Amino acid sequence: MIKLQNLSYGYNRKVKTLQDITAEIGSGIHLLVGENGAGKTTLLHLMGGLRYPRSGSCELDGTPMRQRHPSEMCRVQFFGDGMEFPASTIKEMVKVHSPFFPRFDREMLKRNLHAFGINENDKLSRMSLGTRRKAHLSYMLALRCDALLLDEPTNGLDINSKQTFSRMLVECVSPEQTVIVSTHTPADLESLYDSIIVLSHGKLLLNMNIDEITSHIAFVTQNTTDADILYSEPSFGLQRCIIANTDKSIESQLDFELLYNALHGNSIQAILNCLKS
Amino acid sequence: MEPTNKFSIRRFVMTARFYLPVLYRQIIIYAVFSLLTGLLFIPACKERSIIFLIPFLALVFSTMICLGPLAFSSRGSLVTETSLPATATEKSAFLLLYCFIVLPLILLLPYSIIISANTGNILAANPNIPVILKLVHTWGRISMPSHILYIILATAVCLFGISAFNRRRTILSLLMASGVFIIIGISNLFHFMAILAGLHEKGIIGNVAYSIDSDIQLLEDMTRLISTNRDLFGSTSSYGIGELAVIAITISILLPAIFHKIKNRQI
Repeated sequence: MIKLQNLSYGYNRKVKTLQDITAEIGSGIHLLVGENGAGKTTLLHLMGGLRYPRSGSCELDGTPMRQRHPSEMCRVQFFGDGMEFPASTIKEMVKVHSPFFPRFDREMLKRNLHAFGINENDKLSRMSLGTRRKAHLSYMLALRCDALLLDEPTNGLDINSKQTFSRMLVECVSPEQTVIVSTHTPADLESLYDSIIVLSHGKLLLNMNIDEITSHIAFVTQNTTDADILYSEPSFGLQRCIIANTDKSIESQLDFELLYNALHGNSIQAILNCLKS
Repeated sequence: MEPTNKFSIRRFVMTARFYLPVLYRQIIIYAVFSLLTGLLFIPACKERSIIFLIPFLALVFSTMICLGPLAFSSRGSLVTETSLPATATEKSAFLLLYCFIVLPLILLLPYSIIISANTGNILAANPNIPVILKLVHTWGRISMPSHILYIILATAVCLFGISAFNRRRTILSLLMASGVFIIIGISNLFHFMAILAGLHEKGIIGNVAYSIDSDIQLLEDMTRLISTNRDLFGSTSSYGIGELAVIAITISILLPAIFHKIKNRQI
């Protein structure tokens, strides 16, 4: 369980990148969304112990991540853009890096690499950006950390690879693990998310389970708008709408893009009130 | 088994293995360079210019040691390093051990072994060699503490830069180390001016014309000058002692600062 308590962070004293965030993130695959500069990567860095909060705390099962104890650092890994492995091949990375992670699964790594069509002896420097990313993701999943923090993991992956990665997440992530995926393209792994975390201008707007959200609000497409609609957008002659699901009779699939737009528009308060009711 | 959060020798070794892919190229280059320098030194001893080659080699070796920490910024990312499940003590202990002990040994050992094994050949190659060696020995005895501290200081500054900066680590650390070289150079210039002033005050220079008939006479005169005026030269002079104190204090601040930077690095 990752616990954030009044977490605040700023790159300098004048600007607060994250403001007073309090949340508990349990096991499952969580989607983290927000506009550019909302603080998503910063939040992941804080959760991974890569930055210290200015105030408040970030704990993993009760231990503050800022202590960077090896016993906690081996349970959390961050993966993001521009990350380079010090080793020249995945095989070398396994030799020098995986011994720090007691739960590393060699067989899982082999399966992951095979699924992506990568040989563990291939030179990382000679791979394309996308292939290198696939190699890194394969390795990261095989570490079997309690918490995996993925910042735009599908960046640079082709369509087939995104599907392969989606299947990989299902196969590799156990029910006890926490995976947080920060992305601007939630559709890539749409069917996998258990909950959604929404940041805006450094503040936490929403941290809620998908099932819980769809039990409070429904996502429908209809011809007209009416007074009960919380938010709507025109779409090919129809209206994509969010409506209150007060009697919980409507079963719908969460439309991430629609919810995101609603939370960044004028209907935010109405939707949040509905979710809290 | 739950990892311990205290210093662990096993994890220290694992940390060393983690950095090895980044460092092995440097280790090979330094070892080969040392070997080749030793092998080429023997035929070079026959040349008259050997007197210039010795301080030049010392300068090259010193620079290679001082800039050794730059290898840590050559590959890998700070995220992987910072998130490595090892204590800050284990990480910084390895960095310090590698930069101050391992790398100098890799650079100096092959060269020293070759020179030691060929002492007879070297002495026979050039009649000036025994006199040169005496000068080097005399100068070395009084200036060695300073030179060692210069190298430690520049290495520590370079390593501090590597540990402290998140971006452009290589160039900024190189600039910082270069800054140290420049400051040491300026300090040595002041010391040299002080030496000249001291020699003038003692009447050793500035009174009579000096002429030499051979290289050997020059080398012997230099050796005698240094050994009879230890109060002016090297670490035994007042300037040298003051310089040593400043460098030692700076190093004693830098080393804990390196640990602090590694421990509290922010991505």
